[in-house]
Amino acid sequence: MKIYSTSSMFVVAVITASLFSLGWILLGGNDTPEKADPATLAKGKTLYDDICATCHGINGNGDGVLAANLQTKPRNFTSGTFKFRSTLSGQLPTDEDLSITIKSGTHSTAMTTFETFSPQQIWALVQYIKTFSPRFSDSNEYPLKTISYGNEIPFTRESIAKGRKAYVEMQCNKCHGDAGEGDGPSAESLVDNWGDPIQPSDLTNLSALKFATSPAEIFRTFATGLDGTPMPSYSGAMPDSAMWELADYVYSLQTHQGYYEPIRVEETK
Amino acid sequence: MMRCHLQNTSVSYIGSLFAALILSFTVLTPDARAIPLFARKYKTTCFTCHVSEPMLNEFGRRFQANGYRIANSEPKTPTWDQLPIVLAFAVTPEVIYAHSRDNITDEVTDSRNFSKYGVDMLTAGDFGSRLSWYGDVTVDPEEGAGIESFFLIYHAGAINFTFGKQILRTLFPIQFTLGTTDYSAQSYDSFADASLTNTGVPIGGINTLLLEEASYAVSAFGWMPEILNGFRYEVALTSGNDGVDLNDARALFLSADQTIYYANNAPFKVGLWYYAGKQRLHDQDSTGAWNYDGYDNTPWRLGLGADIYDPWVKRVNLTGQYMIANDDNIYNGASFGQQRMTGEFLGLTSILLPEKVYTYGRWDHKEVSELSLTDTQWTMGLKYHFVPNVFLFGEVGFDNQKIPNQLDKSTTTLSIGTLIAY
Repeated sequence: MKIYSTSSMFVVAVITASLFSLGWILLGGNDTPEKADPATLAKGKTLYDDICATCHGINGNGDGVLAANLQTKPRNFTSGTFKFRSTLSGQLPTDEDLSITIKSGTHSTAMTTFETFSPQQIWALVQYIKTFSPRFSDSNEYPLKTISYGNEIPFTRESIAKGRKAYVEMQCNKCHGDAGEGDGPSAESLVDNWGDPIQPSDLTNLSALKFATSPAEIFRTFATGLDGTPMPSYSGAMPDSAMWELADYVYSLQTHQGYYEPIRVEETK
Repeated sequence: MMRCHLQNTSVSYIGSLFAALILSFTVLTPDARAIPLFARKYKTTCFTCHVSEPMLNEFGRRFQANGYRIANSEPKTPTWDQLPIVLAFAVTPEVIYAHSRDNITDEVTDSRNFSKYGVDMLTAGDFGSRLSWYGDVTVDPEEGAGIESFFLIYHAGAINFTFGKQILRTLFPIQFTLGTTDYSAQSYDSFADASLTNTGVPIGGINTLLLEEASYAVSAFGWMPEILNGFRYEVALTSGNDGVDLNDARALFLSADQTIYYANNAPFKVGLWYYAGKQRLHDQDSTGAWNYDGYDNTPWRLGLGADIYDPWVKRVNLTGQYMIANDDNIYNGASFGQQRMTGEFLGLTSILLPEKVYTYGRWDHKEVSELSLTDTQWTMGLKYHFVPNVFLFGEVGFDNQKIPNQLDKSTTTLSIGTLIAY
């Protein structure tokens, strides 16, 4: 069985993120409590009201007319709680985090990709979305602290096996199930911060996962947690190296590498 | 002067009924136009644009009004390796059982039909930021292959200009009806109804004028989000349809609707549309060819509709439309003259389980004054989505056509089918 190295993918991802960040800085990233200029906010509002409000609601409450028909509910922006971030658990997302979510959409939900928007349009949208929550203008929330990735470990049989062990030890299977198919004993009873039912991801189904196309993205989810959902942050609960191993294991599930060899599964239990 | 399009065809009363039955089945068969083409292109699910396919939600309506694009976006020309994002397919196998009873003669007719496993192919894409295309080709073993619609769109800011074969964009476009039964008023065919009581009125063929069908048209339409919560408009010059060329049926089509979030992000929409033109009438000669008989119909259609969601849970959608259709030079049993139809519908759609289970019901009614014809139709249906692009549906329909002392026919229809789209 061939185990693929993901280091090249990681390098590409880092370069892409760096270039995007550079562009963002040139455009004027605004991770401060200051609001953007009125012209930008007006532009953002026009776009938001026309496109985003159908799901997220005119006032950002997540109660647009489409919300009632969606299993994964649109984000309520007024609480300032966001799933997909590069910041520590409980913190606000960076402008770049928000822009990435807008640009790429969230896979397997009704949040479509807006990659055809210009950087200026996305910038305006991000600034307008931030006006919905008072947290973004609270100076106590800043500076934002982004997670540390530590040292990525090679993606090997050994890292997958150790990751499987961590998966059981950290009780990931309670929600995600023994086989990672999202059918653990707690799965049916999970709700998010707003009381809406929420389903743990099927980790074996790449098309059902969000921001999980590489061990690095999966590591980020472990490190940040998905705020507003029962998925906690594991920063501090386990060393970075163990989180990388766990990320390798989860990555192996979706790419069907390693896990389906029954002998090793038994060994890792 | 005796008009030749009365003399050239000899259709019996029973034959007319049979033809009407066939026509009713034709309109009862579903159109598989809900295809996950845009979902693939924008990496999202069908529910971004649809309540349940093919019924559009508020986002989908805006998407359509923007020329099948997300507003303000600038798409790029796809490359050959991106073929899946410009080409998609759907199949719709369906079982239909119909039980009809003639309440005058007590004659009962039962029919069972397994149909239709036709394949619908949809294609849409962009040639750069300004030009795009949209096409729908049906390959059906029963009806053959045909281009349902194909048109080019030139995007000029808030206005989209289209050219080609396309379905006119009324407030409730018929291809987005939830369920398998068309709106009876909007699918009104003046000649088909006239033939119910009068022999010799040619059904279908070149004289058919159906708003639900695509026309060759040039059109300008767009979406203005700055007017309240959005204003949609369309102005089109159209040819009529079903093989009638631009010289034989020219019409102007106007359509506009206004959206407002009246409470708690729940939209209320009210719209008006108008169609008026001139249609050259044709008769079929002994060789089967259709020839212009020197007379014209000056048809017009007017529709007023509204659409509202409940403001509490936003799971209940109520729609309604009132429509008037006027035609002339149609044989009414004694002479050629005006024929006016008035019709309306009220529809209710409910989301029982998001992205899973939906139910709907509709009451349709129409009256053709010169024929004393009334047609009342009830439909109720249930849909279950296995996944966004595969669903099972079941529908019960009841229809009654009545003309005093001539026609009293009730038809109950049961249909079960599935749509599988890729």
